[in-house]
Formats: sequence, structure tokens, C-alpha cells
Amino acid sequence: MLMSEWLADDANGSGSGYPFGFLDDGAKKEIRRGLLKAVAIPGYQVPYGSREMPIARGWGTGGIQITLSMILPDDILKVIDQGCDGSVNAINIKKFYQSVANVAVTTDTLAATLIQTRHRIPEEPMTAGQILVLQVPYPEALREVEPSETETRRMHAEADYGRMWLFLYEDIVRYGEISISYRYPVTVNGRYIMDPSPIPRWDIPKLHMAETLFLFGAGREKRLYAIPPHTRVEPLEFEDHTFRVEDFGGKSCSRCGATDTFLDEIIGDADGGRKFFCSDSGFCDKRSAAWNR
Amino acid sequence: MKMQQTIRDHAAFRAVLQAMSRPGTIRHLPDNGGADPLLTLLSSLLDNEVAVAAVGADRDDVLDKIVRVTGCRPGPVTEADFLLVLGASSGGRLSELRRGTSDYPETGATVLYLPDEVAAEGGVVSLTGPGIRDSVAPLLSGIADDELKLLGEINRGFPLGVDAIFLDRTGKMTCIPRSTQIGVT
Amino acid sequence: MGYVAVKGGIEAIENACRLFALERSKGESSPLGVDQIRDQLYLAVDRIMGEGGLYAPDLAALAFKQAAGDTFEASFMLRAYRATQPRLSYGLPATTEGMRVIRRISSAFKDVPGGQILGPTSDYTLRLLDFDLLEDDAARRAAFRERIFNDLPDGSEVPETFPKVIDILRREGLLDEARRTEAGQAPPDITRQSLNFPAPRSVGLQAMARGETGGMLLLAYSSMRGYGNIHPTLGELRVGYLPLVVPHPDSGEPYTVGEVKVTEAEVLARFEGQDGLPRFSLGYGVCFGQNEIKAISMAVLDRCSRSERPGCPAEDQEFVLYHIDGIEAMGFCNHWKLPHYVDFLSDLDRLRTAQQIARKEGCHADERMAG
Repeated sequence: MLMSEWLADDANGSGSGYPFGFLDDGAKKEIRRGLLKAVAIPGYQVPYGSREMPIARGWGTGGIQITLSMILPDDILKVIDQGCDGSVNAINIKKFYQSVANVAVTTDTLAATLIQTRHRIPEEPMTAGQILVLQVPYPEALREVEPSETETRRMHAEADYGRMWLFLYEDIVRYGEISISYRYPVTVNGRYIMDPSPIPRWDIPKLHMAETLFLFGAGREKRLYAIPPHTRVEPLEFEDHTFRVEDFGGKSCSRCGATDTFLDEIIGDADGGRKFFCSDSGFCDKRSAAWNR
Repeated sequence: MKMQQTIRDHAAFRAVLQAMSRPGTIRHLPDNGGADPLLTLLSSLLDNEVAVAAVGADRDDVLDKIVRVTGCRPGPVTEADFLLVLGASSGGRLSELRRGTSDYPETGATVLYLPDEVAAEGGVVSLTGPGIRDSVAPLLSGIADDELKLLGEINRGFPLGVDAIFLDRTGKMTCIPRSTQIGVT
Repeated sequence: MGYVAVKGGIEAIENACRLFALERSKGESSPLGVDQIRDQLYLAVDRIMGEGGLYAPDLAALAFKQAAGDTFEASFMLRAYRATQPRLSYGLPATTEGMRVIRRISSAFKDVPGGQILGPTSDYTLRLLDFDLLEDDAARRAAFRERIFNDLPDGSEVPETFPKVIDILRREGLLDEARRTEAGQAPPDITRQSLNFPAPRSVGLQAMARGETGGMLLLAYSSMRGYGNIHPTLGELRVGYLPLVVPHPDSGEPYTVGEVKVTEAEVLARFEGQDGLPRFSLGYGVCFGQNEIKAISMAVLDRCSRSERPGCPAEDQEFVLYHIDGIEAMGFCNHWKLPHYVDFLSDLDRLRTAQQIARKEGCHADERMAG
């Protein structure tokens, strides 16, 4: 349904018995104020009074609250989980949005105006008109080295990140390389160390000086944060041990043939034979279609 | 009617979110049937949890109207979450606003100016920082140079600081968050 | 149907939802009425209202039915419903002196002014299965009720209100009154602001009032048992109905809109006052409905949070408050069922690299040994 149709409609609901955007106005306004502060202080985690959603904590409620505070009837929405539009959780979330905001959905990254994601950033570069909302389970990058919130808050306040660097150094001593696989910590705008959500390292470079606004929501931990476009986002690394993305050793997607995407490794048979497919299912669909034409 | 207002709030917020994310660029608030753009914007952000102050001519009338529409609480400048500056300058009151604490920098206030006109180019300020590719110089006509200088000085304490929104009568808006470095020529 | 099917996922999800509903409606028994749950399984309803943070017996009963008896799920539904409701008004502070008491005991004194009122409780029942309940028909129930009401002694007056046991100790100067720094301030609202530490006492109490009963019991029990040194005495436990008073929207005058059932517990534990004088300090617990385990656990944890030197999990405020919310905990626990294959692949990549490095270094070491 288009925005003009919604505005012309005299009804007070979304057709689902719940208000448009599900949340009450007070909750949305609080989230909006928090998001503006998050954008103004890139990489800093803004605490907020996260509301309970009809979808469980840990299943994307932070991202959902962000989306619900700003969704428009004429948005074109894409929801992905692990890169996949058809995953159980992505479908469930899409169903929820359609029932409380009646938006159009797409699997095409370039056609979407708003994308909500869990654990991936789409392969196709996003544009200035789009917003990417990331679901976050652990917003605190320093939690790995310090369990106490009081202490990590102090560390951020004083930009006292020595223990994080020591952790990385010890990691190199033990494994010969930094062993952090996903959720790779980054420094935003030269100030705050930030958890980029459990995206693979493959996606980290996409955050740096991007065209798109990235919004992060941690519902259970009650934090909002953001990376504005054209902002420096640098993975933590040492001169002699630089950050590296996942290496697929020249493998290609068995479906579209791609060699330049993040690949899912599928165990193809009981003997452990492997196959590889693009994790970004929307992009893979598009390429496969072009091939078959 | 309630749902239409809800959707207008969503649209207004999208505009200000994009404006805050790309300092110095111009965004348009959605048309709200000829309503005052100031109320269109504030209706998407304010409720009874928020303290608002105003300085300048007619501040009581304007504040009354905002309180009536949004339900926000009027308060002194030193405790305000939002400060509305009517006129070219806050007369130094900007320095009294909360800038947040190093533990909780987000408790720094937001200041709202109502320039005669905002435009993407032709201004005296030169802005750099997150959200800006190289630099931008938006026109903020009717806002005193000294006021912009003061804003720049206050925000040198980043991540402490205040975030500014500039909204003109036609609903065009631009933002200068605290992460932006402000040069005034 | 695949777990992460690219196509057909919608159908699979819908079928899974339908199967759950079908499982609930299997068998030949007649469907459970929400009124039956509300009346006959009222302790479950009370628990759900407390953990869900919404006083709504009918909705809690509906949630319990819909969740097929899972209290986590039912509380969660109630909370999600709560998120859609506007806040119309703020209730005025209530004191429990004015409570319409149905049960009230003190283990600190043999008898207390107003008397020990045992009220409805399973505390003194023999935990033997009552096979008579297998034939719990209407006639049997009517006979049971009749027997009870016919045997009521005449003229037994129950006082309207009861004095607080704690107040007696307070008058004697036996209670620590030092920590009232927040008096006169409006308490922060945890449903509007996230927890910040150190949290004021009012925030801790709010978080615990919606905490998960089992989780709170575990932490309180750890302290009572030995990981900590809170040996509580139950000053008073009361269950009853509190009037809900809000300011009238027009006149601002106090206006009673109803009453809510709550359980309140006050525990006493000894400590050394700052002036060197030993006193009792009070741990306080209150929650919706009749849920005595939760109220007592809450009171113990409240007292723990004011330990001079936190030395165990129950005394670590951050540890307690971050982990007692059942809805957050269950959601996160369940989320591990979601696909994590991208993360896992990234993990595999790091592990294989680390193995390669280790093997290479192993080879070099062997060569050195051989050389």
C-alpha cells in the first residue's frame, strides 16, 4: 500500500488490530531521539528503554524497534538473515512488518529502501537513499575482555582500550594470527571501539566510508548505535598482523559461479563432500537469472 | 486521524535522521497540510519525557504551542533536552546547555534554530567530519556567525557537546551534529 | 523442508505454527476456558502477570492457554502486549498498611499485633496426590464450598488493616534508616530507561518485580545457602489487595480505579552500622499476585545488593539485575536455534588458518629436532 493511500484512509489501525508500526508513539519517539544521538556520536552505544516485541529477545528485537520507529507505507523492505531472504527468521519478521505496516517487500538489494539484516551486509554496494538496520546480540565489543558494564563504560569514556589491544596481542602469540572470526571489533571515527554485530570479516570493509547510513539495535541489551555515511571504520589490527577477510581459496558459487562473494559451505553428502553457494541469496538469484538468460 | 499523524511522524523522522547523518545537506520535511514545519518536526520527537526550553522573542507563545501539541515539559535552559532558539542567536545561552558526561555523552542537548532559509551552498561555515564526503558549506541565512562559532567551540569537546538542527519556514532542514568540525570564514 | 530454505520457507513456518496449535488441541478433552485458567490455575496467572509486568488476569490466563502452559512464553506475550499500550497515567505511591490482607505472617515473632493470618496457602498441606480430584465434578465442588461456609464461626471479625511488624522494630531504633537518599525523587522508570550501574535501589526493585521466579530463587538460594552471608529472618510476609490510586485527569484529585493483588516480603538481616552500632537492615520484595517465593527471593536479593563488600554473585548488583529477566533470558537462549552458519563459517576459516600455522610451526620444530 502506498503512503498516499494510507493517509487517505480514515481507519485508525493497520488492519491487524495493532497501531501502525505496532509500538506506541512514546516508545517510537524515545527510539528516534536515541537514534539521532547515536548518529551524532558515531560508534557510541546509546542506552534506551527497549520494549518487548512479539518476537523473542535475541531474534532481532533491537533492529525491529528501529525499523518500526521509522517505517513508511511506501518503503520497500528487504529482510535477510545470514544473507538469506528466505530464512525462517527473516520470513517471520517480514510477516510481522506486513501485518503492522503493510509494506512492500523485495529480495533485490538495489530495489529496497530499507534493509534489516542479521549477520550480513548485502554484497551489492548500497546507496545514499537506503538505510541498513543491523540486529545486534552483543553491542559491547569490550565484553570479551571485561564482563562488567560499569567498567566497560568507563573504558569507553576514557578511550582506555589498552586491554583490548593486549587481548589481540595475546591472541597472536597463541595462534599466530588474530583469531577473531566474526564480530570483528572496529574503531569508528577514530574514537569509539564498536561491535559491528556478528557480520563476517568479509563485510567489515563495507562499513568504511560508505554511502549508506548503518543503524544498529540491540533489543535485549537495550542499546542503539550508528555509523553515518562517509565515516572512518577501521578494524583493529597491528602493522605486522593486518586484518584479513575470510579466504575461500578460489572456490566459486555452485549456482551462479561467483568468486567475489561470501560463500556458504554446505555439506553435500554423508561423506563430508562440500559445496559452496553465495550467502547473499538475493544477489545469487539475480546473477543466476542473468546466466540463464 | 491518529494513524495519519503517526505516519507523518514517521516521515518527519526519516527526514531529520537523514539530515543528521549527512551534516550540511538539505532535507525536506513532509508536507503536513500547511501546518507549521516546526510542529511537524517536533511532533515526531517530543513527548512528556522531554524537557524543552526556548530563548528569543515570542518564546512563551511558541513554547506554549509546542507543549500543547507534543505534551513535552517546559524547563530551564540548563536542564533542557531541546532548546529552541528564536532569532539569530541564543545570546550565549547555548553554553548553558547540557553537553552530556563522558560516561553518557548522549545526555547532551539538541538545539533547534529557525533560519530564514537553508540551502546546500553559499554559507560562511565549512563543515567536515562523519557523514560528509569532503566538506560542505550550507547557507544558514539569519543565523549569526558568532552563534555558529560558539557551537563549534562547544563541540570541540566531542564526544561531549550539543547537536543542532536548522529548520526554515518552508520545511527545509539541515543539521550540524557534535561530530562535525565547524570552520567559520 | 530445510531449516534455511531459500524457497518454501513461508509455508514451512506457517505449518510449524499450525502444528503447535494442533498439538494443543489434540485429545478428546473439552477446551480449557480462559475463565477456568484464571480461577483454577490462579497461581500461574499471578506469576505470569508479575513476570510480564502487566496486571491483567484475563489476558494472563489467555496467554497461558495460548502458550500451552509455558510460563516463559505466556509472560512474554503479556509484555509484548504491554509494549503496544499507551501510558495514560502514573499511579500514586501506595503503602501496604492499607492493604486488604488475605494472608499475613511473621516468623520473627510468635505472635504479632493483629495476629498471624495464615490465609490461603499450600505451605501446610501434605504433598500427597489427592486422587479425589480426578473426579472433581460440579456437585463435589458445591458440597465442598457448602461445608466450608456452613462451618464458619459467627461474628469472627477480620480487621480492615494490620499494623506493620517492621514498624515496631523501627520505633525501637533497631532498623537501619540511613539509606533514604532517593526519598522525594520520582523513581526512574526501567521500562523507559535501560539499566545503568550502580543502579539506585528503586531501579533494582523494579527490575526484580518483573524478574523470573526461578532465576531469582536460584540467586537468593545461593546466598542463603552459603555463597554470601545473608541469613534472613522474615519480618513479615503479606498477601492481599492494594488499592490502585491515580490522579483524576481533570481535577488531579486522587481517584481509586481498582485494586491489585500483591505479595510483599520484608526480611531482616543484621549488619554493623556506620556508628558501630549493630542494627537490622531491611530487604524488601513485592510482586503482582500471590507469589511468595518470588517476593522472599526479591527481599533477600535487595538486601544482598546493599552488602558492604560484594563477595558473591547474589551480592553483585550488575550480575543479578542483568540475569533475572526471564523474557530476555529465554529469548536469548532460544535464539541459538536460529541459523548461525555465516558466523560458523567465519569461525571455520579462522580455525583452519590457526591449524595451518600450528602445523607449519610443528614441522619447523620437527626439522630443528632432526637437524
